[in-house]
Amino acid sequence: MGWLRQFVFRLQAVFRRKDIEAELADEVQAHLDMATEANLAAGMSPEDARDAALREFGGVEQVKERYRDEHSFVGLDQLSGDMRLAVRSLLRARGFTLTVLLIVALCLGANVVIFSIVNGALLRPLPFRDPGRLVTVFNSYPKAGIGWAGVSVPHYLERRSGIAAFEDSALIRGAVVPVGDDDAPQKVNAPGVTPSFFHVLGIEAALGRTFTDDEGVYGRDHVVILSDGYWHAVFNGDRSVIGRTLRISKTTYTVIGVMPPGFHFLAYDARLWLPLCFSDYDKRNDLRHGGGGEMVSRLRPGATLAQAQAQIDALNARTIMTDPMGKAVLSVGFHTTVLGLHAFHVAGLRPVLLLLQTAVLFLLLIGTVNLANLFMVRATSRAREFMLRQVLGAGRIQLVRTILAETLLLSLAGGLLGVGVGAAAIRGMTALAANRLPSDVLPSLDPTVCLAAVGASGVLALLLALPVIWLTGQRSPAASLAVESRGGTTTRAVHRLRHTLIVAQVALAFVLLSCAGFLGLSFVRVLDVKPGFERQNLLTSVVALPPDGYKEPGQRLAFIGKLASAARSMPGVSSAALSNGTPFSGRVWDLAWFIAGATASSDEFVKEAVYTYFVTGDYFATLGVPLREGRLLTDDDYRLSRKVCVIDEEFANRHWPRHDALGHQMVLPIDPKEAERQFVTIVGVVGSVKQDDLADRADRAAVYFPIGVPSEFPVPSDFMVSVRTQFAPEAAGPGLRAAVMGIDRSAELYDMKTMDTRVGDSLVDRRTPLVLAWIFAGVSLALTVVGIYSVLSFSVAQRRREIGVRMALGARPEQIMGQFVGMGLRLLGIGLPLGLLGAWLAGRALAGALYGVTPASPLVLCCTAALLAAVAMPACLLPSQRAAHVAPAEALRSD
Amino acid sequence: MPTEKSELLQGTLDMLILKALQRESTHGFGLSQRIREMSRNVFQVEMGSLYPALCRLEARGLIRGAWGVSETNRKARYYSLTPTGRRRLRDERVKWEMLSGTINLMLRET
Repeated sequence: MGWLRQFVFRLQAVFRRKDIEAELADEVQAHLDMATEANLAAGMSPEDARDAALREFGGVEQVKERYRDEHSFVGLDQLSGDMRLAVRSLLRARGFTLTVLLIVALCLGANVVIFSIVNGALLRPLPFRDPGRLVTVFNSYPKAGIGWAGVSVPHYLERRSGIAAFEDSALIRGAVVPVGDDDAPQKVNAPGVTPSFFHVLGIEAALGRTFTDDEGVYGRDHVVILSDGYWHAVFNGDRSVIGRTLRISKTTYTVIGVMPPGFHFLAYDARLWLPLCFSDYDKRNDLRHGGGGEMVSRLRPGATLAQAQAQIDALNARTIMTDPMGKAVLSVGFHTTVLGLHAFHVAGLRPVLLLLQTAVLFLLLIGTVNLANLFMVRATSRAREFMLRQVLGAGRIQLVRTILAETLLLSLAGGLLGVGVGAAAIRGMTALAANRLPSDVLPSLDPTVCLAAVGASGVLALLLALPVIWLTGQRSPAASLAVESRGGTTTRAVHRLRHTLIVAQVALAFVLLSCAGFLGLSFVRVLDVKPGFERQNLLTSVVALPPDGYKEPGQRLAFIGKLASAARSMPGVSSAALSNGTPFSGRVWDLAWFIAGATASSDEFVKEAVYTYFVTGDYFATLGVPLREGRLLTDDDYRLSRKVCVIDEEFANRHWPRHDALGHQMVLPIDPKEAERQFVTIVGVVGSVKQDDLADRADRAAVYFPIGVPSEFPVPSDFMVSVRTQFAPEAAGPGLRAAVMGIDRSAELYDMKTMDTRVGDSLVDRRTPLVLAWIFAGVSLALTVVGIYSVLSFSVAQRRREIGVRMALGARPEQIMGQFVGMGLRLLGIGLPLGLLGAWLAGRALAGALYGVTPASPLVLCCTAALLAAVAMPACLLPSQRAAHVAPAEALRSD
Repeated sequence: MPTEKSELLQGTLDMLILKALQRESTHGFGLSQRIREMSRNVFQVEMGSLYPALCRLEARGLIRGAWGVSETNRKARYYSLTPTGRRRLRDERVKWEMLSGTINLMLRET
């Protein structure tokens, strides 16, 4: 405690300096006065009394000075002195200072940006109460190609009540509902959630209340909760909104609550929240594997993920007995997984973020090595200054403090600049790429990021100071006086350290460059992938029909027929088709179908997830999908509701490897019940297409039905129109719009894009990390070249005298040049194999992100080595040439 | 009794100040007088040592300084012992008695 009291006392003194000075003056004055009085009383004359008092007191100013020493922070004063000295000497070496600041700002800035995303996505906990206890539950049917499937209502209900490890559970189902005026409603994102949802998350409404259990029942469910954004946009943030009504799906809903600002659930961009109710149909036992929702549960305190998993497995084993589809789903590997909500949410983002963070840390490492070299060079050239100071009485501690002050000042200033660079980049990035990240992962400069940046600056300062301190400690003043006064060479150990740093830099840059190369090559390979259709000269757009006038499937079918022929007859259009979606539109999903007679025991059905298209006749001609066997679908197929379909090669090969798919049947509907069963005959086989990712390792199977034929998928009221053009596809846009408007003015067109754009968009997730990796690699290359150049030129400058002597004794310029080039090559020669090893390791770590490139691709490794050697060469040659041109007479005379 | 004025042993000034303040609080001038009287005019306290020592002791929480009015109606800073200071004085005295006793013993033996 004592030291604390002293610290506070002294700290006070720093701020109260003026008061303390005045008090001290008063106190001294009082002392003198009293001494004078005492002397007067002893019978002295007034003058003598005063003089005697002063004499006895001693030097008033000296007393005050010593008093001040007691009172103030000597260390603080010294520190500010060190800092002043550092600022002055750094201002003198302007080039050095700027270079260092630039490197620190760049390397730290890049780290700040990436770390802010990593922090937002991977480190920051979900913004719910006790988020560590939140888990998600999902089904999967791996042998049918379904890795994630929502939880059906029967499953949800039995798990909510039957799993002891769950405190409570909720089901969420995304939905878009028409809101507002019955005639011109707006489509609004309004997921349905069970009333337990808000309780599971532990979030209260900011205004009003959340749903009661009662409101999760049909008939009592006409209540709605607003998001903060919707409340402000539509109700102007009016606090009396509770109890007012909204028209949703032509029904009146009462507003009962408003959620707090910033509340959102994972990637659901919800504007409104509606209660999710279950009908008796939903609860049917034979719908256990039908469409459901995302299940979220809260673990009981103390319960573990493993317990929950074990309980679910046990529950599944029991219920599968009475499951009418039990056999079928078990044959495709049905099982249920419990996973931490946060881990599940960031699973997709994790590898790429870790990859980028590693890359950017490498960049920082390379930058640090470079800076260390710069600082060493500077320290060597300042050896004389340090020596002088030591001779004049400066202690080792003082020199160390000077060095520390400089590195600290530079690192912190650079770090500050880095945070600034990072902040600017983050702002730019949020503007550009906000929609590419899950909505709750907005990178921001929160305290964690800033703290990390400051911490990194501090560590950087220490790392940079260490070799310099070591270097300074290497020499006794006498020795450096002897060596440096002749401008001679430094010690072997110093050279060795500098050379080691260069080797490290070459190796690190090699790793980073080859990783960028691996990613770049796999991007090129992805671009080369044939999608299975003609992506050029193809324009696609979504068309949405208004609700009025299109209630009957026949009305919608009529519109589709009219639009198909109108689009086909547009000038410059060779063919046009309508479908529920196209590849790369995000509107086609893999649905599970049953296939009749595909296995040996032909009375069993095999469940299989395939991308499901509903198309008009010209679809294959328009997309450019080739026919392999049988026939294509025609317009008559959908007009006459023929029970036929076309499958793709992948699907055919999977089940009919002997090319006898034609004539086999698919079973409709998705959930076969004896009475309503329909069979659809396969009439053709077409080429496989890439569905939404060019880099899919295996083709995904697809099935094409005539639009409107499977009765549980009636003709949709929003669909896509595709037109193949003979000219630039964008130019067909206005014509297509006119064609749609010509049939019905109230129809809507949106998301109009060329197929090329759609395919390009699908590559963004690959392109963004690639571009960043290339930037990092480029910067690291530049840093390495600068590093090699600066070390060699410094070496030449230091050894001018030696070179001069040797030339005077008859060495030829080529010999001198050879010596220095040789030195550079030796460093390169050690660095490259080390880098090769590192690149091989890094490539293996990267394997998951690569496509069509082996982790040790010789092409990439050779190119990297060649590139590094090519740019390092001039960095070696230039200083070496300078060495060869040293004039002996001049070199000997200098200094 | 030596009439010559003697240098204070290093480290003892703090103890003497605490001792001088044991009975009653006083100001800097009073302290210098009191120490001189207590040592029967042997010890002459340098003001250049006294004031820094006061400041040091105050920082350690052994004494407390406050402005007051002197017997001659003058504004002066009065120092008094804190409880910690009182404890410290006791400890210091025990230590000093042991030390001086040992030294006396050693000096006598030679």
